[in-house]
This record gives sequence, structure tokens and C-alpha cells, in this order.
Amino acid sequence: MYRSLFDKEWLKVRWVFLAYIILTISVLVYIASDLRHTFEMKGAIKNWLAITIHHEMYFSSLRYLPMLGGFALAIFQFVPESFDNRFRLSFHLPINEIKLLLYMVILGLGAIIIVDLITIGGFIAVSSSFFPAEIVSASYQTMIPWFMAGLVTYLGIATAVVEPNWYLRIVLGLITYFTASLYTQGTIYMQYNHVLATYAIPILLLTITIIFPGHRLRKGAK
Amino acid sequence: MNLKKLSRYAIILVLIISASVFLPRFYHKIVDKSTRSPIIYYSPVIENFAYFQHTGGHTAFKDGEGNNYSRKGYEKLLPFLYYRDLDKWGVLPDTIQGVPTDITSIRHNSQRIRLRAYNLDQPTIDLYPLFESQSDYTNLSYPPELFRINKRIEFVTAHTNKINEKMSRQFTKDLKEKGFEFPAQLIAGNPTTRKPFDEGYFIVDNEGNVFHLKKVQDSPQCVKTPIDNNLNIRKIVISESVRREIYGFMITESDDVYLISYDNYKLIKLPLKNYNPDKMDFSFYADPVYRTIKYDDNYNYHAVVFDSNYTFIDSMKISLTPEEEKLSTKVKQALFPFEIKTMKSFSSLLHFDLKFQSWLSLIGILISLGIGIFVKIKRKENIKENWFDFVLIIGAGIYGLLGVIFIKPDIWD
Repeated sequence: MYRSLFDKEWLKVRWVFLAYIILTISVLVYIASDLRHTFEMKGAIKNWLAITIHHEMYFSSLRYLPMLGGFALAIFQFVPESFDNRFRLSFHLPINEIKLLLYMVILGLGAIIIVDLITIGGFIAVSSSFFPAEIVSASYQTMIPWFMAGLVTYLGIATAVVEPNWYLRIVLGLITYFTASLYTQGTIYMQYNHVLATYAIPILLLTITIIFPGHRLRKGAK
Repeated sequence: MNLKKLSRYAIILVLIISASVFLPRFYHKIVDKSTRSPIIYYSPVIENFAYFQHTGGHTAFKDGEGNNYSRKGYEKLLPFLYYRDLDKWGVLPDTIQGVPTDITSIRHNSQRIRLRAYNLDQPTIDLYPLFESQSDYTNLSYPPELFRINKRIEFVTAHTNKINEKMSRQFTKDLKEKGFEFPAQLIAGNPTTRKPFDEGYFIVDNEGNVFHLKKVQDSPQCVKTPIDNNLNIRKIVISESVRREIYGFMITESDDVYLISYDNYKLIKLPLKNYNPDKMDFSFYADPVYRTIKYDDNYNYHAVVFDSNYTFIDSMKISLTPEEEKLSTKVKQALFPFEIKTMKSFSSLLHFDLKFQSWLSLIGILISLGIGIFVKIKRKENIKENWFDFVLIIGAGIYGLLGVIFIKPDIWD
């Protein structure tokens, strides 16, 4: 049963998942070419100092990418189910509705985490050829809350899409927007490092929020 | 409680978290007024404090006795500060207290150093440029490498992103010979080319000893300073000035402030009352006659003045209305039972601090509870089954109310 569900989810998200990976790689290639260009034009030391002294973020083009990816995955995974009552067909499968929704969410989170790992791996590979370990390490630590924003966006938008009532969908969309924006406020390196565990709390809460609109959908709420 | 109910409460809790960050922030954007900070100096003309403060659409210029001045009259009290205006008006005196007041002399004998509280917790990327301190050229230029200190001092060349082994060995050897114990606890310098010359870095080694490291003609010049290694130094601020009186200052874990003098690194302890480095901005200002230290927490503005030998002369404190006493703060406390602060005035970090308001919050909680009961009765909700909604309103006031109203309970199995 889970294997069939996995195949069904894969069919829905494969193109957007692939597009998200391609977009991520494209942004990494852009960062690498931009670094090569500024190193050539301004000299390496000025680029290093702009980071160590002025906290310039050469990877800021990655800031909203996880949010975009989370949003797109949630839309592609849940919109086809939420319209034309298709979810209600799925609810007739011999699997508990809560388990079904959580399984779908776990698959979506898995897809996001795979792209996050590709991003971090690619980013470290690109950065290490231009910068010493201190800058590379400070940079990917700075990006961790952005990945968390991606998880918040995915979970929040998935909840909003499953919700059958448009008015509540908007409320859930707003909650998602404001919550995700908590993770992208940073203006200097490593600003969140000491509070990352606390910022994980809203994400943990969001992992189960999809159950409520799922229940409402099954009950036929409008 | 079943998972479906838990899921609804999870949504409400996320809403409460977001609302408690953004609603108080939004409230501040609507009601905040400038705190109108006073700017205090010490006048060598009247030998008293002189300050100005923006109040009610105009600027008040006053001295320490409360006498009012015009802007021109005020500037005449502070010739070391407004010498260009006084020179333009042709009223710059030749000497003040026997000190010549030509523009070059004033410039060469004035110095400012600032330390903002947020500099204390700012995350650092521990790579530093070591300038050539005795260059053949007037202007300083950035070196081609940055250094780090771990088990040894290492110079990493930016162009190649590789360690310059020769330089790293040479500097490590010199530091060890001077008694430096790796790694470093603190590295402090002034990494800018916008300074008249370079004094290198003050580095606290693993045993608390302070070393002064410079690069002179591409070679290390390291001095083990006589500064006590038990001071628990928290921050050193270096600022090169042609006055060559002090290298800068340092703050210890016990909030003591010491100036580091050019006289064999002799420390000058500043007697500053109620200075809290974590919650106050600090500034040192030297003019040809006085040394003025100022520190403030946005509400209490302190100024302490010393003569050129750092003998205490006078001090002044101006207090503004505390935040808690403002009407807008009281309304906020009644409206919001708590807030989550992600940004703080004196910190460069992001936070997630839950700050409870005062007993005034009870007003907001009771009103929210009343509205909550009314809405639920009107909507004919099953109150018995959703009693926890009221717990949320009692605990989170307006945020809880918004949560339980927007996210209505459903028919549970």
C-alpha cells in the first residue's frame, strides 16, 4: 500500500522536484560565476574582507529558494488531491486518513531535505574553492534558518491547500507567510545559531497541522 | 485529546507564536515616538556640561545649570567641537585654558572611540588582516592574506586560498618565543585602511596574557604586555590616533573599563557608575583639554569628564521618561499579555525571547475571554468539548482569542 502511495506521490511531484533541483544547481552555478567575476574584478582579498568585516552575503540569492521550493512542492503535491474531491477517494483506501496525510507530508519533507542536502553539498563545494573554512562554515550555518523557512512554507501551504474553506485557506496562508518570515530576518552571519533549537518549535507544531483540515475535508466541511 | 484536536491546537499555537512576534511590532510602528536623546559635552569655556536635546519640534540648547542658549551661543561653549563654525564666524579664540586653538592643533588632539552594545555579541568570522605597520607609503593598504589563530598562527593567502607556510612558521615561532600560549582567547584590532597608521592586534593568549602583534617590514614584532592576565578581558577596542595617548580600551567580564595607554601599556581604570556594557552604548571623546566618557541605555544618559591626567572632574546624568511609564506602553501591556522578541536594541543576534508584560495584561485577557465566550455562544459551539479554547485565551489573551476565533473547532469523532 505504502509503495503504491509512494508511486502516486512521485508521479505528482517528480517534475517540480526535478525543476527545484535544476533551479538550485543553476543558482549555485550563478554564485560560482559571480564569485569568479568579483574575484577577478575586485581581487580576492577585498571579497574576503567584505565578508569577514562587513558581513556581505555572497549567497543571498539562496535566501528565498527553499521557501519557493517548499511552496511549489506543497502546491504540486496537494492541489491535485484537494480539487474534484480526489482526496475523498483516497480516504476510502484501507489506510487511516491521518496516517495517509502524515505519510504524504513525510514524503514531501523527504524531498525537501534531499534538495537541502544537495544545496549544502554543492554550496560547500563551490565556496571551498574560493574561501577558507571559516567563511564556508559561517556561510552554511547562516543558511540553516532559510532551509527551516522552506520546511515551514511546505508544511503551512500543504495545510492551507488541504483546507476546504477558502476563508480559512487565506488565514492559514497568512500564518505560513508570517511564520516563515521569522527565519529570513538575518542580516549578518550566524545570527540564529544560538536559538536554532527554539526556532524548530513552530516546525514541529506544523508537522501535524495538516490533520485538522484533512479531517474537515473528509467530513465534507465547506 | 485526539490527534485531530491536537492538530487544530498546533495551528492555533503557531498563530499565537507569529502574532506575539508581529502584532506588538506592528503596534510599535504605529505609536512609537522618538526618544529625543540628549547629546552631552563638557565646555572648556564655562567649565560645565553643555547639551542639546530635540523637544516638541524644536531643539533646546542648555548647560549643566539649566541655562538656555541659542544654537550659536551653544556652539561657542564648545570651541573644540564646533571650531569650523567659530572660525567661519571669526570668533575662534587663540587659546583656551592656555591650549592653542588653531584648527590643526584641535584636530590632532581630538579622538573619538565608540563601542555599541551590539558589538559585544556580534558573531565573528575569525580571519583578520595584518597590515604592514611601517610601510614606505602614506596610505595603508590591505595585505594579500588574512590570519587565523588556532594551534598556531596561520596566514591564508586570498588569491590562492592556501596557507602561506613561510609566514605562518615565522610568526608562530616569534609568538612562541615571546611566551604566547596557543590558542588565542581574543583577537582585537582595527581592520580598516581609514586610519593614520597601524597598531596591529592585541591578542589574549590561552593563559590570559595580552600580546601586541604587528607586522614590521614583513616581519613579526610581538610584545608581551605587562597587562595582568587575571583581568578576564571580554572586549578590546583599538583605535589608532595621531594623539598616541591610548591604543584603545578594554572591558572585563566584571564590566570594568580600562584605557590602554602608550606608556608601556599602563592601564587607566575609568570609574564609571552603573555602566552595563550589554545594555549601553559607550563612547570616549578626547579634546585638547578634557576626556569625556558617555554611556547610555536610550533612557539614562551618563557623561563623566576627566582632565588630561584622568582625574575626575564632574559627571552628569539625564534621564528620560522610562518606557514603562509611557501611556503607549501601558496600553500595549493591557493589549498583549506577552510578546516574543526576535530583535533587541542592544544585540546583533536574533532571539526568541518570551517577555511577559505586567498585571495590566489581565484587562486584555478578561476582555478577550468575554469576547471569546460571546462568539462561541453566538456560533453555538460545543463549549464543553472545546474547553481548552478558554485555557488558550486565558494564557495568550488576544492572540489566543484570534486563534480560537479564526480556527473554529469542528465536529470531532
